[in-house]
Amino acid sequence: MSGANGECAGDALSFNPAEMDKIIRQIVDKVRANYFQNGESGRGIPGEVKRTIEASIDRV
Amino acid sequence: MLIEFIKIVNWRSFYGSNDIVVSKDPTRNVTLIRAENGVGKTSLLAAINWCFFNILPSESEFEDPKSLVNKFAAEQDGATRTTVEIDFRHEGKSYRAARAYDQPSQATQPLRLTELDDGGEVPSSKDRPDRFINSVIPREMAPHFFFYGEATSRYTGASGARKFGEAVKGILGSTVARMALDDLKKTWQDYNRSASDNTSAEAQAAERGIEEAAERIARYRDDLLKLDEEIEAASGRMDRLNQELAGAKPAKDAQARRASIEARLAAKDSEKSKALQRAQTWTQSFLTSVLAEELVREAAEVIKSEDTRGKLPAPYDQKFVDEILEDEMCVCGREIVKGSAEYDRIKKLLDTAGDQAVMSRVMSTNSALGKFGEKAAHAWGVYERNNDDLRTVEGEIVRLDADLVEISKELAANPITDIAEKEAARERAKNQRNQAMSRKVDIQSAINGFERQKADYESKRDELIKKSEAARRYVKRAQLAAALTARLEGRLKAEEEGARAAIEGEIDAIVQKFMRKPATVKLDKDYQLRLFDERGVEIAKSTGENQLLGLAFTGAIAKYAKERQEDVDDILLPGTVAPLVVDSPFGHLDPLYRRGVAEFLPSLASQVILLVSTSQASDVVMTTLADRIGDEYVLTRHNRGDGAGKQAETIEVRGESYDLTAYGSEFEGTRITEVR
Repeated sequence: MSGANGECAGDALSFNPAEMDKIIRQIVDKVRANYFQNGESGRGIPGEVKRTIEASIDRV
Repeated sequence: MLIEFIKIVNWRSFYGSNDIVVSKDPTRNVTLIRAENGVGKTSLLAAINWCFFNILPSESEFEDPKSLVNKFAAEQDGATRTTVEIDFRHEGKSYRAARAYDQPSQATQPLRLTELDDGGEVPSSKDRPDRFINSVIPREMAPHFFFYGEATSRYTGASGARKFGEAVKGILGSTVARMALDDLKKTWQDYNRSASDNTSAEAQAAERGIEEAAERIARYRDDLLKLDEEIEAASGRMDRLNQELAGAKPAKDAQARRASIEARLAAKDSEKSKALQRAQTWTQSFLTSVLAEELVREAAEVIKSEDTRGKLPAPYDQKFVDEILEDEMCVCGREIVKGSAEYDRIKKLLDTAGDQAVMSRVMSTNSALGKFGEKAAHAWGVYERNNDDLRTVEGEIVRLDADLVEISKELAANPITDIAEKEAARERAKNQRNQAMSRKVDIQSAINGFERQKADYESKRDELIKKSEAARRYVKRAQLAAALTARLEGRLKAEEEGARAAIEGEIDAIVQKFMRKPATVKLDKDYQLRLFDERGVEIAKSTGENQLLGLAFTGAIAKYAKERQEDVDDILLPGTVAPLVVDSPFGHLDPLYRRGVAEFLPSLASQVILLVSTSQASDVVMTTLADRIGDEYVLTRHNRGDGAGKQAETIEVRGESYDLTAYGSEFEGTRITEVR
């Protein structure tokens, strides 16, 4: 879990790169909307990021 | 974005309403604004930044930032407001951005944005003008378009590299992706915490240990940034005092000697780093052979002592020899009877004959051992030479340091108080810089300690949660968050590397064309901008060369942003076309470099506004810019007094005379006059 690619020793998972890029795009789109709405000083949106991951976890 | 028109009303030193029409001609894309010191160049640059982004320069460059309304207008005309309006074109439409400031309440009005149709204002659909401006010129890119030229000469050292790095990231529009990265890291951390909470108290304790170590590391990193700023500020003070001392006649000679010694010292420091590097390389290259020296000697002895005399050498044809024995007949025709002395001799030779594979292994081992031996014999000579080099260069550094101390004492003892005071101030700045540098080393070492501690806790936590069934659900999510973080980081790094290489290429082309000495530019992965000579040896940069490189960098990123304006990318913001507004770009430059900057800046940006003093607008600058100037203005400082005998300053432009300073005027303040 602490590995650069998210591996946990002895229990490594590999994720589909294309699916990961789709999730990254969804997350960046949400952050971009938040940035244009609230500027750079606006609070982050980890909750939204979590929701995106939850929605995609079975797909990757 | 292209600026069309600027109107400032009672802004700082500017009295009344002043207009500037900015050139939009793509071939004559320079608008030149000439003014002497203290008349309003920096104020004009500040007006643009303030109108668009509500940003004012730091107080060291912009005194009394709460007093924005022109004092004469306030006192004589009762003016309470100042306004700045900028008309600009963006994606086929014209807009007017306006901001006002109310002096009595010291309130800055929000940005007002209207669309222009045939010069008239029409209501805009932009409900949040600041957001719209941010999408035209992202705030992160703005400091690289509207800036103070001489500041670029300070882009050296760690903080300079950080600024270059920030500029490249800014111009790439990676802010949003970086914010996404922060959110992903928080999410990852959150899943880790949930996994630990669902495992055991021991895992929770490890998680707390990780978080505490991470917090300390973050705090220390902030401290490092502050120290970089301290070092930069102290270096800036030293530079300024160096210049002042060099300009004072009684200190000029000592200061010139100091500059020369410091240049030699910088070269010696670089030699010392190389000698240290060679010493480190020695360990990698020779340590194994030196440690194995005895073993090699013994192994060689064993191989040598193996008696090969009288043995049938390999390779040999066993079948052929076997047939001789079988036929009992030698190749020479003599009989070899079974049981005879000859027969037994050949049989014995066969028994002790070397096997081809074994012999070949022995030979290659022998050769490898020989190489090891040679390397070990050579190692100590290299070691001594490295040590000698290091001792020599360290001795030279000590001598040069002592010379510098002497010069400092000489200046501190100068009977002219001003010089002694400046030298004392310079020493204080130097001490502050050295102390900050030493604190940086301590902090870095503390960070390394906490990094190790964090890694230990992480490995412990990972071991524990791996065994927990209840944590499984969170482990998978944490792994995905970690993988997404790593992937996004990797993609950003690749984008930044592309930008860095493109910008490096552009600066290098400028250096090849304009720099006096043959040199190659490297913008390394840490964004340190370095110059190398033809032999690949790094060369020190003068203040003027630093300014030239800083401006080349700015021009290069403006060009890169322009090239990226149509880029559609899922993680980055597209680039932008924006005017380059530069205050005092020619300050530290000599005629050759002035000509270079005057030539390359207009060719890199779509629109350039240059704010220059008369001395900066030298013949060489004006000749080079002649075909690129679309509009030209002079700022005139008006004084009501008669100047008490001071000469009015004027300037001749294309046969016409313009006032730079006027006395006996009806008002106090600056006015803008268009050059016809």
